[in-house]
Amino acid sequence: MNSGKVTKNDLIQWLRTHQKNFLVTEKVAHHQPELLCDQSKEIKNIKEALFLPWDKLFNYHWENQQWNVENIQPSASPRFLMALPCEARAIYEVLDRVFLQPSETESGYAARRQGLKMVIIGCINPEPTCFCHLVGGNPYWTHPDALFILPFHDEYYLETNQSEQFDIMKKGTTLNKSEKEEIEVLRKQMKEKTNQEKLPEEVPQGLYDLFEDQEWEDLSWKCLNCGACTYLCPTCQCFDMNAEGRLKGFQLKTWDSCMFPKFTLHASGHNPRPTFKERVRQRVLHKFSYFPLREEGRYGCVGCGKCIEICPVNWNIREAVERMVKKIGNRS
Amino acid sequence: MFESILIDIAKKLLRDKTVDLIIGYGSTHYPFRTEPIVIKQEDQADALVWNPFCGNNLARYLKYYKNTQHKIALMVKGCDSRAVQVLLKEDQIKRDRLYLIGLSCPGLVNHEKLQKQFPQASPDDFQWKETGWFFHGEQIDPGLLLEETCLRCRYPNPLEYDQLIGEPQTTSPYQTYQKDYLDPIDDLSPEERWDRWSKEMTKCIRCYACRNSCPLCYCQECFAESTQPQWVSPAATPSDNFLFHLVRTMHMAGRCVECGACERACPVSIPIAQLPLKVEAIIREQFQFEAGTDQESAAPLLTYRENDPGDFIK
Amino acid sequence: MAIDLENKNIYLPRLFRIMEIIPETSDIKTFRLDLEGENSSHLPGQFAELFVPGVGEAPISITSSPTQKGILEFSIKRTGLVTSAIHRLNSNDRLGIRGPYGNTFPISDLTGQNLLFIAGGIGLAPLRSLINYVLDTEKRNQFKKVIILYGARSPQDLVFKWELKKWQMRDDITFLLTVDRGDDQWKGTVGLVPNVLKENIQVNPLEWKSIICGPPIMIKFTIKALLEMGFQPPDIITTLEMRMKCGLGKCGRCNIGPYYVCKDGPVFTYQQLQNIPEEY
Repeated sequence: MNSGKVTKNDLIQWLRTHQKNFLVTEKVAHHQPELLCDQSKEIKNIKEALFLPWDKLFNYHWENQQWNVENIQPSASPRFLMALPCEARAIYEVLDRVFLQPSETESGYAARRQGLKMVIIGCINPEPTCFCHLVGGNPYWTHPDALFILPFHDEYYLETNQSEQFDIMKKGTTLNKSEKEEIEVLRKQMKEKTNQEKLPEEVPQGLYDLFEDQEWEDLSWKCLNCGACTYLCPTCQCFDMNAEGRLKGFQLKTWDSCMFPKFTLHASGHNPRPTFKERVRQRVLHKFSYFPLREEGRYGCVGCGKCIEICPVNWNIREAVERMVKKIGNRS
Repeated sequence: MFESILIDIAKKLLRDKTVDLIIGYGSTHYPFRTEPIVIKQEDQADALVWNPFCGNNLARYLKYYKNTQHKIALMVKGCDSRAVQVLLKEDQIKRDRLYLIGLSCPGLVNHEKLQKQFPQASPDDFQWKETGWFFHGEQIDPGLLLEETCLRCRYPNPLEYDQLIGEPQTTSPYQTYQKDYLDPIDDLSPEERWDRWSKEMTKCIRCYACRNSCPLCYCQECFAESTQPQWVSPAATPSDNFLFHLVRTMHMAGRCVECGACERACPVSIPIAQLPLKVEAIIREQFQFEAGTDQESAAPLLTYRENDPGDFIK
Repeated sequence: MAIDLENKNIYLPRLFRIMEIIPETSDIKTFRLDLEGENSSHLPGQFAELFVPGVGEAPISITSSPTQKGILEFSIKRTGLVTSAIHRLNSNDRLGIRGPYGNTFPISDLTGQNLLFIAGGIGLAPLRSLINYVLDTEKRNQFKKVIILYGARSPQDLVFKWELKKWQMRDDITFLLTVDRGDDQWKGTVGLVPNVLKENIQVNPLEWKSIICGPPIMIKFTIKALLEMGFQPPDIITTLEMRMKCGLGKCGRCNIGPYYVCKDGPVFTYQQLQNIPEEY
């Protein structure tokens, strides 16, 4: 692991050099506006970089009295993506697990992912809606393959396992002993906070056992059943596939939302989730119960709080989960 | 002060069994945000609030009770009461099932403006009196803080109510500010308008928050979700987004009550209320009609009169 | 991190020619596809996503057994957009196939066992893949006794009538056919499947495995009857129908509890079904 610190000027200079290939999430633009350059592209949701709002899977056309399909070979130019730890965690811990499974790798996602270099900015001013500690994250979370940047006194602390990918590391000066210790202490504090606040281990199974509870009806009443939360969530990965074009067209993959009424509608007309109660319950349980039960305890939520921020009726998933968690163990 | 009156009214309604449930506003953990709540028992009524952050149009929840027998009390601002009027006219619910708690509303506060003007403020810094805004005791220009739709509000007082909280507003923001919401757009040429809206439509993610927060979008199956036939592609491309919004605006023509809930709901900050408001401005001019202002006049797009304006026929 | 970049498009269908279309009932047709010399790699219980260009995809269970070389068969009920479009196809048209997906019937658990197949209406289609696998000359002696109980609403609603005759003539299986309502020509049993089950089949439930499929109401009452007869939940096997799109456990549509029906199913034991919410 290589680490060092750079001056603000050096960092801004490096960002400027690469600005045309830099994607910056809205959260970073909001927290650290000084790191945004004119030509870097701001994206509202980190998953837009990899899991596109709409995508072509393959083409088809009618010719010579028969149907033909043609593959589309995805390609992506190398880019940098700057995000907060919660959003980056959404990629490494959730979306990668869904779309990069061996022998079922989605080629479009893989091509874009291959060319992506992650830059994770340590989060120093969390918002009231944030709750990353609850789900096992912390504001200094990083991945060895990414470049971790933390505002440190008047400079920036850098850390990565992949120095050859990030030439800013060459400009880094070594930290002295007390600085190193300071970083260690900060990191340790954050990890301990997570250990204290993280949801207890029995939560996924416990929530599953509360499936028939009456509380879901009260919790879900005010939800408008729009898709705002799912579309701005960095981990939500549900999608739809439709044929677009009659005699000539392509198979279209778009974002979809479990909140929409037609999500589980069968062709026969039967809908296993007919009302808002079932759909809201599904969203909470998928993130906090089903996904962890399948994926060794990893939650399908990273605690970024975006859904709470933008929900038109302030539906709060954190409050909902805490309310239900209190009931675990109280059942007879 | 209003809240205690409101809570007393609510408790009495439930105690006397005048209503089965009350739909109103409650507070959240976040200082400048409220949420819609439903109250079925007297002791829950203490959760009700009334402040300038009560942005949701609660008439939207009436569609859940269309076929039930519940008697419902509803907190309505001026615009919300217009929405209830339209729903009554369109036969979505019967008046005798509703008890309308009218709220005299001087306008809602826009969060972004609040952040900009007073970034460190907390709710205790503000006093909300019927005459206007007070910040640490000093009156401030509501034009600095109000939602854009509220600055052009023509009906600050509820038009239909069973009980009114607060004194009726003596003037409407429209009279005070004389601003038409659409001034910045009306000044643009068609090409400039197209560019402006193309940019906005690129932001749209088709989450349908605007449609779902609108009390008058109560169709069981929205045209946007129809697959047989498919009218608009589910892909969030600018042209498909344009199609969705323009068709929805046409479906709202003559029915939109200009409450701005759609714009407040939008997670990507598109000023989407400008579209139906422009149509309503045209309808006001051409048909002398405003949705939800009375129970008598017929909705213009549902009726034919011989002297309907026809100057677009050349 | 190492990314598996085979550059294979997991969503790309392959097109195969329709060899034959067999009308089964007023709204069900069986499509036999020519695999052009290849043999299908699927196992009984799996399904494929059928693609009609310009219309869309639908998940349909594969009704042919992998022991039938060079062909693939699907029985499709005309229900919605895609299935209607498939019904409008003719022989020699090409149909897109993606698959095989899903888990299979637990063949190793069923080997060396007595098998009781119970099907209703089009529910026979997914079971037929396993039945023909078991009845294949090279496989038959891996399984012990076989009973097939099949019923439909009326004689017109029976599917695979051309194959039922063959099953009736075999002496290594017991074949019971019933209809809910007969007609003037019907000379066979008349009765609901769960009732015919209770009245005619006396077996030691601890020595038999039961595989069932049919309309939800039939499954519900058949399971009830089987439990009354003493069958244990892990020995009752069924296959679920669910709205699916990707077939790979990614798009989230078929998620119930911790399972993705397209990946962890569609074959489930009743014991597994008892532990998941009834969101299907």
